[in-house]
Amino acid sequence: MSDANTPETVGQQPLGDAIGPGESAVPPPPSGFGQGLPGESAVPPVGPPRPAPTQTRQPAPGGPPPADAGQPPGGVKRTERAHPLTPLIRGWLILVAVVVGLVNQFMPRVGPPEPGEEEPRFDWLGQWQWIALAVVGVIIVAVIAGYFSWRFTKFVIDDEELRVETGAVFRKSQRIAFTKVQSIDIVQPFAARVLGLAELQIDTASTEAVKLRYLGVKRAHELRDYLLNRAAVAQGRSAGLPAGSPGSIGWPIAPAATMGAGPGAQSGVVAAGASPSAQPAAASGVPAALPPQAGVTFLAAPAKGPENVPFLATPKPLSPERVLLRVPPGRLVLAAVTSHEFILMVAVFAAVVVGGIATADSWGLWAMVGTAFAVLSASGSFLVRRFISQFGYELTQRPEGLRITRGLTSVTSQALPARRVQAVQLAQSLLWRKLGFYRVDLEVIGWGDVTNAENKSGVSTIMLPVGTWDDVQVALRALWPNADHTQVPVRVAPKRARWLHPFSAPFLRWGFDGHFFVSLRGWLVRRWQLVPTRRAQSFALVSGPVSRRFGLVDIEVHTAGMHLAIKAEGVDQAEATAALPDIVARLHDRAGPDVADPPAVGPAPESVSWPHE
Amino acid sequence: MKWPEIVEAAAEWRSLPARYASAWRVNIALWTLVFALAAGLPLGLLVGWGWGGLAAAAVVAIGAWRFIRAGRWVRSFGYALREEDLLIRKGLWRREFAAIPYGRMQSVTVEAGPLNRLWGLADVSLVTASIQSDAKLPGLLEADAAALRDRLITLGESQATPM
Repeated sequence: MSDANTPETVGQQPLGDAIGPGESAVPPPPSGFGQGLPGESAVPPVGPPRPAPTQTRQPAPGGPPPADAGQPPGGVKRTERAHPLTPLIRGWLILVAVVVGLVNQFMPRVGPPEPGEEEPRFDWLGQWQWIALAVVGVIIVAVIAGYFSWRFTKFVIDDEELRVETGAVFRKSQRIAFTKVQSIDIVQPFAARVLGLAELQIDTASTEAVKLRYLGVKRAHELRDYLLNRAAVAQGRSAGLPAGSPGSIGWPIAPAATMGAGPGAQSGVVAAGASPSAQPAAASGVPAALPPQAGVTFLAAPAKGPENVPFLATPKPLSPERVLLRVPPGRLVLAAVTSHEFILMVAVFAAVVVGGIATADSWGLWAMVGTAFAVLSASGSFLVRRFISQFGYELTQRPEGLRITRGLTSVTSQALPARRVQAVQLAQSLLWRKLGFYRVDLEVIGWGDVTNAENKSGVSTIMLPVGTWDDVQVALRALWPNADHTQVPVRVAPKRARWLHPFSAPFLRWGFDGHFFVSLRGWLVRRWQLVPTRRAQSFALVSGPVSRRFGLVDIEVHTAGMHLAIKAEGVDQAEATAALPDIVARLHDRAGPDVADPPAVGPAPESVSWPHE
Repeated sequence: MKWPEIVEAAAEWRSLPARYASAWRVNIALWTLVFALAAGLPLGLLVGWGWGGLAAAAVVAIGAWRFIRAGRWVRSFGYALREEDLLIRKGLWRREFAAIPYGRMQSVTVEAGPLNRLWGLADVSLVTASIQSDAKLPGLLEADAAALRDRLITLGESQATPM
């Protein structure tokens, strides 16, 4: 992303220049620092290379350092090491590979010689000794390599900077601008989970997330909360938004009223952060005196600058969270079995069986058995992987935003950056229509390489793997508290659209209002596509020679993402052109709150304009 | 070639310089030659020169059609610089009307290939965060292109919307 053109970056420059003397004496990191880091490249080259994105520099805290966790005062670097068990995880993988390799190599030859065979080709005892020696050697090498890799891995995390140093031979130092931190996810691959470790993935909207691996689970959560707060301060200040305004830090802070008073809502805690009376307390610079929900209060009043940052202190207790949605395992299985992918596999299986029986010769039968076996194993692994990756899905609301946790063997805890969501798609396959299930996908800027496959663990674009219409509404209201997409008036495609879209025509709809552009399309898989008009990059009316004959056009809405093509099909040309000035005006409409902001008024009334049964 | 009145009335439409049609024609001719060789030679060598000739002829026919229509295509292209957005309308077969707000602009590029330079022309594209946005104004006069680039940058910076 070339942010260099935005006024934010431009505005930051003088700010940094003004702060010079008070800045702590930190020598610039060694050369090679910041290589390949998009946050750095976005800063326009000004004179000599600057060691830091300017907005993250600040005078050392004036008063006594806020309470905490062994952070020395002033600008002294605080380095964090990877957990000592880290080499084990990598060593473990190597060991497994070696053992598997050896077994593959030698297993078929193990066993007593057949009577007819002359003699064993190998001296078995000697052979096993060699193998044992090789394994021990590999372990020793792995341990030494692991030790050095661990020894040279450092995470510098303090109020000045976030830097990751790795590599014993090829040293690499990567520094992340706090302003560019988009979200932080906690991922636990299986091996790490067994050892109680976790990996922090810091998303900077560039192609590859920066990974801190591995940390203790508790420490990982603490660091995540600290870094998120730290990033919020940097971004809140640099955004130049009015002090203390909720949402000025880039993450929505939902007051209790937003989400409705669900049972078990920790309304008191959340509301404390948003109430104006809480802000002076935070501004007084005595975080230690604050109640346990200091993190919340702090988030609402970031404007006073870094003095208020409780230094690695925020996370305990972990920020309050409220579970909005869960997917029960039973529904997950039902959804997987009725998904269109699975149905397709079953259909292939049936076709193979029928074909095999119909040919009724031995070749046909054998081919049938082989193909059927392949299809069966594929569908089995599909079910298992989908179950494992989506197991225990939870959508939770926390002061700094939404969060998704899921996975059986590898647990992923993924931040959902509401303001970076460019579009949302609900999808419903044929059988799900009967069950009333929907899947919700997100188009998030900078997530071009994030998977949208449901049977993969790790960070994904799936907001909700399966849910009812009500669940979908809960999720979308949490994502966009300030607007109700079901209020968007939609227009039905004209009858003649059947000529071009024979199956989907009755379902085709499109519409827009002050908040969203929506399109309903698709036949086997029905799609509801929602784009906040403010996130749309551009739009186009397109008509080919055939659709022009029918007086139809398609409306394309271009978003900053890689996964979804947002398009309304079979739109009446007269309607579309009549609406043109309105649509264009919506793209420019920047007044009023954003859809991801907390709402100004109470929840909107239910709407019936949307077909979803 | 008739656009709905609402599009016609939306803005003061500008068109591309007439000499871009010449540059475009030469461009089409060159590419047609390349494609005709690419289609005809392998077929001719491997299958037979009759088939190769047929494939090449098909490519040439398409090229000729585009060559003839080039003038009309260039005349069909219109763009309008409004207060807050750039409007583009184009196309003969596949007609497209697009609106790109300046606020979404990330950068502006001016490109001029060797052919365009012969005629003193350059392409200006407005780059947004979306790869689907197609905001390219082909074949503007070089001086116009540079002026347009600077104007677009100014407009974009003054109206920038945060991501």
